[in-house]
Amino acid sequence: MKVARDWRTWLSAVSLYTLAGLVVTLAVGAGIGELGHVVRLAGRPAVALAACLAIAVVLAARELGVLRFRLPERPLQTEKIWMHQFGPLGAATMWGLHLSFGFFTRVNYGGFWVLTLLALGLGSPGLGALLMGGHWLGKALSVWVAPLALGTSADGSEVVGTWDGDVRHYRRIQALGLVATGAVLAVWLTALAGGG
Amino acid sequence: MDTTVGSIGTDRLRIAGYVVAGVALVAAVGAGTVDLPLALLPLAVLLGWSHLHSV
Repeated sequence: MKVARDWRTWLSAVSLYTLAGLVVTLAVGAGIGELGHVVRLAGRPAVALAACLAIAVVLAARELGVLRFRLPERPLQTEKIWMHQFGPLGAATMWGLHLSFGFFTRVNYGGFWVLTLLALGLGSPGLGALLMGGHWLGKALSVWVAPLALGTSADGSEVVGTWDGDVRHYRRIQALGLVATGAVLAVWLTALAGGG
Repeated sequence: MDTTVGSIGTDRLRIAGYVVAGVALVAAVGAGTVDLPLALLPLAVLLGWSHLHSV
């Protein structure tokens, strides 16, 4: 993330980035859930839960290096030139709008696709908004925490460089999230099977 | 990037990652006892956490 050096500007920019992305992800998540409802996936939650459980396990294995395959993605990044064209606040807002879509930039980890498929398969706009909005908040949280953790008003290259240098750690965190998500889906399936 | 600063930054961000993971797992258990689908919300946050270098 490109971080302005002045802390007030930084605070405003990251707030705009977070809010812009949250609005988009809530709308996209609700739209995906509505799409699942329209194509009548909502009536078969057990099928969606079982499929997403299996996908979560496969993706967790990928993050741990047991399986190797590429995720569907568009290998694009945000436009750094927006900073020069629109200033820090305008650029932060546009980066939030662009990155939060998820489908138009790189997808390094599988969690995004599990949540997308869950939103679609369960056919619930409310749950879809919750899942995609939550994913965005986690994504934005890393931008809030990174400069604090680094103890500086770090510029983008330092933050991203630090992140890129510790990929295995983030893959393990992602695998943990996928396994925990799989566990919730398994409990949910069990509850459905038991008539709960 | 200065190697020392990079190493300190990596360690701090790694600790931040463990904190986020711990809080998310505890929140998921708590939310799941109220309403099972709600357990997915903190886990969605955890899954989003790793994504900075998609930027």
